[in-house]
Amino acid sequence: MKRLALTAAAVVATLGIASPASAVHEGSVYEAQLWPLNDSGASGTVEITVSDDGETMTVGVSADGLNLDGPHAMHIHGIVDGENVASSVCPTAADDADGDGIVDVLEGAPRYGGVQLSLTTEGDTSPESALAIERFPAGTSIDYERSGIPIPDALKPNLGKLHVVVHGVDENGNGTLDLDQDVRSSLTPDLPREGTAPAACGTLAAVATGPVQTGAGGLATDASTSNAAAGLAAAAIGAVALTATRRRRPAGQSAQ
Amino acid sequence: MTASNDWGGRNCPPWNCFPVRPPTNKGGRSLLRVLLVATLLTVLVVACGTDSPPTDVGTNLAATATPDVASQPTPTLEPTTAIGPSTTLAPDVTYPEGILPVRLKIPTLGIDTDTIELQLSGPEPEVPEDFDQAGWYRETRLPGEIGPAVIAGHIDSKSGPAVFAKLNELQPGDAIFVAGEDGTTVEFEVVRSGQYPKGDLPTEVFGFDLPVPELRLITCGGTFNRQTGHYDDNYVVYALAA
Ligand SMILES: [Cu+2]
Repeated sequence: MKRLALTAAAVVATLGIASPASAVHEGSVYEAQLWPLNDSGASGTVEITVSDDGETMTVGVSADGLNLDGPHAMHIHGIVDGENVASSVCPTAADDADGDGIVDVLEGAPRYGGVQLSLTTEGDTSPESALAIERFPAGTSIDYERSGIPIPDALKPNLGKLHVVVHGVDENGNGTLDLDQDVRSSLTPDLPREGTAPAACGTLAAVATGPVQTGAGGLATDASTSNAAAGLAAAAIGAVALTATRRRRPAGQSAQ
Repeated sequence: MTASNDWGGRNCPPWNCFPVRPPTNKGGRSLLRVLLVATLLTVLVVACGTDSPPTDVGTNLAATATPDVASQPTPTLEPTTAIGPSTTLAPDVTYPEGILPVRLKIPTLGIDTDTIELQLSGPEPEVPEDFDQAGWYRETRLPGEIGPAVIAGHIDSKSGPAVFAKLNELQPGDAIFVAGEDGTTVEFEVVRSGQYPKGDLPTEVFGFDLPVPELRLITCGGTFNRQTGHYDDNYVVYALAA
């Protein structure tokens, strides 16, 4: 079955689509928490800071607990259609379409989409380097930071909808990449499935880098009352949510 | 090197904590249909104001959807290194598109106001100049898309209450409506709230809770500091697609 037969020509054609650069995301910070896939044991964090000119970014990936002491291809993935990026989530074990116990790199694609950027240690960062495993971090932990990574125009307004995927999983318990594994990567016969199966995935989100100043003090004639009210309301919401009941406030308390 | 996860203290990824099926919309892209599938939507409200420690007393509502394994398509690439940006969803897996918000309605609080676009990035996130308006941060998701859309509003002006003055009166189950420029309305339901010291908003405030449309409302809370002219905290209401 080749529902999504992808050719090099298609890749180039897509790369050629340039949407107007957004001028509004300069200096933005995006974060993601990495969660394990395929029982890799990995966890970690991602932080992306967009440069002041909005053209490049610094990407930091910190992860540990990886069960493969070998190369870890890392990419920024996304479901991109021209200028549009779909908001999606990382795959789960339920995405093991063929039921063989491993969510391979393509079984995860309906969730995290295609490779948009390659988080290499040096050289090219385009999707062309997606499988350049000699230029990715290796080991059971990752402490990666690279600045000056060019941001494709179509991704500039949509960084907060993308995913960071760390590949490379030990399947047989020997902790190393078995180059002669019978099962091959769904991307290339040149690599074993262990080499490209996703080990961790995190969904990026824009975060605030300063205080949200949404008050001028007009209600603060009695600050202590204001504080207490907020705290009580928070507690009430939590308690009700725990029991999943729905509380209706008395009519007299209805807001004006 | 230690890596840590701080998604509200959970030890599982948000989308794995509950057996939730991501909204899928086979065939059409009707937003209405998508919203029927997406049974939960999160709304986050942040307020500024107290000197209390961060509170996150809420918990997530259990979702009732079940994993949808059988419908997962198996996209297949040519066995080549040509994995690229056009590797998209198989044709029968789509995600809700969301709306560009222009109006916010919270009936239980009597709120019915315009929403403008704001910028989250920068030394200080933008806030509405009009104390009666709310603003959607354009770097966050569109209301109706999977994941959190974040909307901010003032708790007060210098002279009296502003649009989000009563945000802390919202209760679980209260409805929040966001209307788009195309006339479409997305309904959210309040789930929980949180209060955080200013300038230290955790990733939780902006990240996923569940793989469904979410909404978060932000205002101020806690003590008003007359030295700085600002409240000490932000108050956040979390809601999920209704
Ligand atoms: Cu990848």
